[in-house]
Amino acid sequence: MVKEKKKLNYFFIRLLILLTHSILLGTIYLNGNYTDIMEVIKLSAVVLTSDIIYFIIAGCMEQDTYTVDFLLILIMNISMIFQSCFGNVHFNLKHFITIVAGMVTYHIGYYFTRNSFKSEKLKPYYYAGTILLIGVIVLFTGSRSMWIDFGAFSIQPSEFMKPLFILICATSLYKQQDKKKIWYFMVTPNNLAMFAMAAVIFGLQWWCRDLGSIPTFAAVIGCAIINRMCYPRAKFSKKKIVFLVVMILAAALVAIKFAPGYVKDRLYVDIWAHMDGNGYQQSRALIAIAEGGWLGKGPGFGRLYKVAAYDTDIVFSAVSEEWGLLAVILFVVLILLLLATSLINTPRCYYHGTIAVGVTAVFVVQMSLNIFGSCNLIPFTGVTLPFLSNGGTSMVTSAFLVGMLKASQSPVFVRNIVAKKPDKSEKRG
Amino acid sequence: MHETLSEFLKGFGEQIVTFKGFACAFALLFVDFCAIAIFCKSYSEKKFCHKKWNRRFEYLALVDENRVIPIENSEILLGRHRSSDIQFPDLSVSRYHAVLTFSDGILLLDDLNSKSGTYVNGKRIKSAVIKINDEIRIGAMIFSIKKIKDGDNGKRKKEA
Repeated sequence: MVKEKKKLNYFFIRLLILLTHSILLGTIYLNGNYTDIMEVIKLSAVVLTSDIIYFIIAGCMEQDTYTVDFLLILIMNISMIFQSCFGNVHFNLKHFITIVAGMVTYHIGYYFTRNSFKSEKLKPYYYAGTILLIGVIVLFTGSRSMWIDFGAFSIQPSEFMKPLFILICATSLYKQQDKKKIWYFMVTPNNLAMFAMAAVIFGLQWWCRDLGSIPTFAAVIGCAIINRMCYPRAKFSKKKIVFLVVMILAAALVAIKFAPGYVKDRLYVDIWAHMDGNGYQQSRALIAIAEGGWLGKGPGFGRLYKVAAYDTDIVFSAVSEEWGLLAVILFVVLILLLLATSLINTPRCYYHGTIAVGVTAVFVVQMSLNIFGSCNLIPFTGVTLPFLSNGGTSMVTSAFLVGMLKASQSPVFVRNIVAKKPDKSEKRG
Repeated sequence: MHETLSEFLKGFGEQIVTFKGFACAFALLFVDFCAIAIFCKSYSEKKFCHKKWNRRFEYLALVDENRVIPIENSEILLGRHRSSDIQFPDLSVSRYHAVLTFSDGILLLDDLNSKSGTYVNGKRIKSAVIKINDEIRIGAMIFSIKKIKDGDNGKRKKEA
């Protein structure tokens, strides 16, 4: 008898990841700008040791697929290497801590969402969590800010709303056939609650001027609507779709009309005419990309680190200057591959399908806003590039989202259904 | 277009001939290679998961008069509408009639407020646990859940 394999062999993949990180670290050793070789050795030791430790941890976990894990550790440690080179090669402890926190939340995200039945029971808590976050933002961040400071570090609570909102969209997909008549309209209570929550979130983002996040939430709700159109039980009529499209277009036009002055300035700014004004960051970012060329100046030889937000909002250009445009494009392709894994190993239920689409929407919109904003193709926004930008909130949220994505590939379907024993009368019959 | 391409090649060529450029290009090539290898592995995972999933579902299939349809999802919608997972082209079946869910090794059939009702072994049900060989009726359509061999997946029965 031929024994069936319990697990696939990932030895070659593990070896390749270690070699890839080693070669990148070797490039720093040969080409990098460093004053103390110990910094390079420290960085190398941390990157390679964390790789090995994670391989051991991942090996102990029972799940169907591991490619997301391996792609994530590859991406995380490449990000660690890039972030440790800005200006001068040094071990970036803060970024390492955020990566460790990210890997922990990645697994929390996975365990939290892998069972659709359990997750659906938690639906009221997702709404409660979002309302709690809205309350925190209203009370603690103020009307023109989105950060809460805790001494040395600060957090952006609105980031945590992204996974919660995706979960709201996913769990509200069930019971689409349950409709109620409100006035003259037949509505699905689940959809109504989802749209109401979306409206509150948009209002809040507008109020605290976190306008960069609005497209991300809009993409998530857009994908949720498309999912409802595909979901058989939803019975979304053409009239409703047309009505929604008209409403969205009207909202967009009103938003542009009443946008704050600084937003309108950014829409029409000529960055080369205002190099020391509104176009300061973008013009420096473009010059840095041009100076870096295809293969970069070399790790630690960049100059963009002198510009504000070099490691967050314009990190695309900062990496491009030191490592080359090809390297940063490759990094983006790695993230796209991470998202594309759910196209290969497709989700097995509508809940996980909605999660996969929502997570993909968040990443694609965030990456587009960051990259095209840096390159002056769209107005500049303060949105981070997932995994590459420095910042704990962004890293933790992005990792949680990838955990949710993995749940769609390694799902668990346990509902604790107990088959009823037949009655005595049935047995006699 | 031609000029842009030649400029691109020129710029790339100038950078790669230096030691720095060559080292960087080599590193990037390796990242590329690693990404492709992981991506290819995900195809192996797909096959592996498919087999594992079949084992988990114990090679169950919905069997009616003409069809053998393997159950390969946790949630299967039964109805007349063409967007249903399993379509029954019969007017006695509602457009979205019932949903079959599989979890923890147990099959559960839920009626979706259909007009003609859902019956298991002759009894009308709202929600019921389904056992192998139980006779299920939705509208005028009768089918059952049976164990099949791996090789039978998706094949239509020959008409008698």
